[in-house]
Amino acid sequence: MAKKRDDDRVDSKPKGEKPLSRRDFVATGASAGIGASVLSMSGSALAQESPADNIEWDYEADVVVVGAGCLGLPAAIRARDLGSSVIVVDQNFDCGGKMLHSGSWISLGGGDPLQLRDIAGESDKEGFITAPPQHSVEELTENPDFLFRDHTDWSVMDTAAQAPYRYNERDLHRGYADNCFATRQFLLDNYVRMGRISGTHGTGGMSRARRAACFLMQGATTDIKAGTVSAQDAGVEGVHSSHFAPRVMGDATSTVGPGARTNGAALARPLEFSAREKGAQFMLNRHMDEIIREQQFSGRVLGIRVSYSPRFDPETGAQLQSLWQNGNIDDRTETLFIRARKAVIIGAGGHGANPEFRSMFYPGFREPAFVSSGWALLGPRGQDASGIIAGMRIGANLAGMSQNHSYRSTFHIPGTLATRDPYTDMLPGHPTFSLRGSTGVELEPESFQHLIVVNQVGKRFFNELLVTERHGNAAYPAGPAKGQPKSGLDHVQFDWRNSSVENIRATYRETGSIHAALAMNEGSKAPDFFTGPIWTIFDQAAVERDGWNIEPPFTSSTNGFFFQADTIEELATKVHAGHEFQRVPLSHLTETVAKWNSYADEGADPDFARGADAPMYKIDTPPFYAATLYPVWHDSYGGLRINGRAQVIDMQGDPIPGLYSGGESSGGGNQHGLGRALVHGYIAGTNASNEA
Amino acid sequence: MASQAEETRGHVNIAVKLSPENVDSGAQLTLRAQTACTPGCDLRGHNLLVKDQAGIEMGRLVLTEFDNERNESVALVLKAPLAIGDYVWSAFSPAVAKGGVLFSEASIEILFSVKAHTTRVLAWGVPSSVVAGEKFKMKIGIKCSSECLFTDKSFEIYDHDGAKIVSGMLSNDLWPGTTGLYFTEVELESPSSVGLYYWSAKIAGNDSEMPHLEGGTEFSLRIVDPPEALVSVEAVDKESQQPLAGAQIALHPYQAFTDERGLAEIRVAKGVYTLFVAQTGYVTLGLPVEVTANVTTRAELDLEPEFERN
Repeated sequence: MAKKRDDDRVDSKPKGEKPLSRRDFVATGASAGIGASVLSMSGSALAQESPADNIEWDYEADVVVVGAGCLGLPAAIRARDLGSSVIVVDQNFDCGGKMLHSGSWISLGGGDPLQLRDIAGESDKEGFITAPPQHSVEELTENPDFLFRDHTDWSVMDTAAQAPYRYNERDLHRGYADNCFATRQFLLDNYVRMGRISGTHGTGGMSRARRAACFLMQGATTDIKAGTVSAQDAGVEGVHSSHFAPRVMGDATSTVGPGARTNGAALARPLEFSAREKGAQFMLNRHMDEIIREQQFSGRVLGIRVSYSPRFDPETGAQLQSLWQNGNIDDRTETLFIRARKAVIIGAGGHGANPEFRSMFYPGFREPAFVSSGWALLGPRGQDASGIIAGMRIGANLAGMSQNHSYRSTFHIPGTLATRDPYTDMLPGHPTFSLRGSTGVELEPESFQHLIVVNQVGKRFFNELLVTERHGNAAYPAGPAKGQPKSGLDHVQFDWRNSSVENIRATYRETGSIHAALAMNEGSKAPDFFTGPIWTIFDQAAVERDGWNIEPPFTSSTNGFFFQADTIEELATKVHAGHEFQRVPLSHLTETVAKWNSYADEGADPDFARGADAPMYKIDTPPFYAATLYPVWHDSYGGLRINGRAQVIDMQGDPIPGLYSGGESSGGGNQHGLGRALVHGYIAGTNASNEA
Repeated sequence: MASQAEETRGHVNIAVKLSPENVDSGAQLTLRAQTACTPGCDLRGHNLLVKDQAGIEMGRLVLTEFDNERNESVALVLKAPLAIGDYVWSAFSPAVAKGGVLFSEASIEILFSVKAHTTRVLAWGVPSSVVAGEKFKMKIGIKCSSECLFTDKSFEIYDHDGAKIVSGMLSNDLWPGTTGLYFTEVELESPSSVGLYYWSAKIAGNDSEMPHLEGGTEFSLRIVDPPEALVSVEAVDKESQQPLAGAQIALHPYQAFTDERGLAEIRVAKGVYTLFVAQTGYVTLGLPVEVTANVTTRAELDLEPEFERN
């Protein structure tokens, strides 16, 4: 069984023969979550770990930014623009955070420069965009007040009867709306190219089109200034990705023109390039463990304590390196103290990879098997809630703690088999691919008619055709399919009919599959109940019938997420022996397959109502396969409370002097994706730099 | 008389993991050991002796890894005894001196059972529907839990009343994609009445040097009336109107695939069916169809909605 470790700190076993799982030797009642659970608590839970008086600072800068991602990079650039010295720390070996892995869709609006460009029917200043505007003038015309109303609309419901805008912090969103124009322009001024506006991203507002994806033009070389990316760096679909772009960059012909390539690399790398060019300094492999304040709950924030967090290739042992090094400070001292003369900005990402933290929203997600998206890219310390926890420890309030339930991809089951991170699809070529070992086999919902899905004891628990369904997200142009009585420009803001009982009845579509999947599984006992892995079970006939590619790199025969066997009984044995989180045997699998086959004989499924919507095929042609179907926690809502100036607010409602945050480290905003953090970063970088 | 500086004594705790705990006669048995000392020590290079019930040394567990708390050994792979039964072996750690401490000898029992090989019988490739009284082909495969080669292995097929239908012999061919599933194809004659029948395939056990248990499996047989009507289906992409080759057509229990022209013909008994037309990447179409005479239908399939990963 292959267990990939890239972090000597988490498991201090010497390299060499793979260590045996503790569960083989030591009977324990503890769930012993591996890897992702980081709380950084030592001694008394509330004691100040590093009293300010005793600190000898190792480094200092005007503005210290935690996280080189979607908040940190714009914050760093903005602070540099305003004349501040900047040190950016990031726990990872490279810049970009989860942004690097994203689709690069940025929803801003309020009459931002891209909306104005498309209204005028103009191209971009470099003339790359040849595709026509995709929306009418009316769909693009608005102002910050209108955007603010969209983002604070109590009445909008989605198809799970959740209200994504109702609980947004008002001051925060006023600041957001007032800064969208400047942020969009800021991106354009820092090598970020964006194509035509096309719809609006999740929970980016109901009333106007606001979203554009970033692009680079495929060329002979990667040249951020010229706006080009080489074919090698952009990647080849189904073949390889690259260090530059961990996911293959997609085709942006429809929103830009022929030769345009798009995804998060077209946003993250230009921002990183600009930050380095403007003299921001980077301390990578640096995990922020503590925010230092004058007193634990009063006074200014003075700086941070960081620890060395290198990552290593598990196959070669080589330390992973950033793509670019200009501006890097390569100090390998175990612990450092970095002083912020003006302010600290927390852009450490969210809590999606911290089972203990996220379990406060959903106990079923305390299961350590389930990771957050970008798990291989970001490593075991990514999205570990450390920014939020550090803020809590110096008195910060939290906000938005109800909002994880009101977005469709906060937690869900993507239809990608045989990988621990089913949300993101990395191919070989990026330095972290060996940590996941497989890209995953991506199946459309209809393809699930060719398999069954079982829980960790081998029982079916839901209609397979509905297992990956997500409820619709409430964003322009919306309409009944996404929970709204009216579509597009017909939508009425603040209208009681949007959330009437009749409308909810007509549009409700929450199937509940994720909840059935997260149910406590048999074999799980007090006090450490656990959910356990979920498996798709299928045969060779299914693979051939529906044309699946189950070869490497889409699957791996060694990473424990895909198994092949001659018989169902052997398959169950292999899964139990070979999957790190399979704590109990799949004792019901043989019986489940036999029962399924008998239902296929009848053409009807009395257990989960299959047969009504698609043919039912027997699972009887060897070889047989088991591939994981893991839930994932992608978005992260709920975090440090911030105001419209991106200042972190304490329990008395006052800003904590010298502390800023935004993006997924913050709470009170339910907008999915990059726009939120980019604007917060712009605001935080501006205000931090302007501190006296 | 004891020396003034008394030698410090310690003891070694041993844990042994063997896999599988229930092992086939003569099959591979893998052992690994973990040790922890009091006081703590690094026993890398120390060997644990694995002994059988008679005290004969069967192999050594060499300790090679240390994580500052425990040592772990490399895997020791042995051949399990042939005789069926329960076994009590032991792992013995001779006395060893390390870091000024004398660790006394220690041992632990290793319990395992040897069992007869399990024989799994698989049956597949039965057509989804067979006309009453007609012949049909299917596959029979047999797999030993230790992947023994089944040369000249015979099996028998029994009908729903338990009557033996046929005896057959496995070939030496492995079914593609498998590591130990020997198979053959058989042709059988179906019952003469309509219905869903369960037949079985069995293989006898043996008491050879490596005993094998008997094995068997059931398989279903859906017998239908002779067809009375022809259902012709044309599957196309709704937007482009291009034919869909390889689309799955199902009118339970009848199944077919469309050809390169997007056409499929299925001969069915008269009745009421749900016609399903499915193709990778398309929304499955389901239409109620009453077949009283030949039916021709055109199925226009919509692409599945674009996947918004966000």
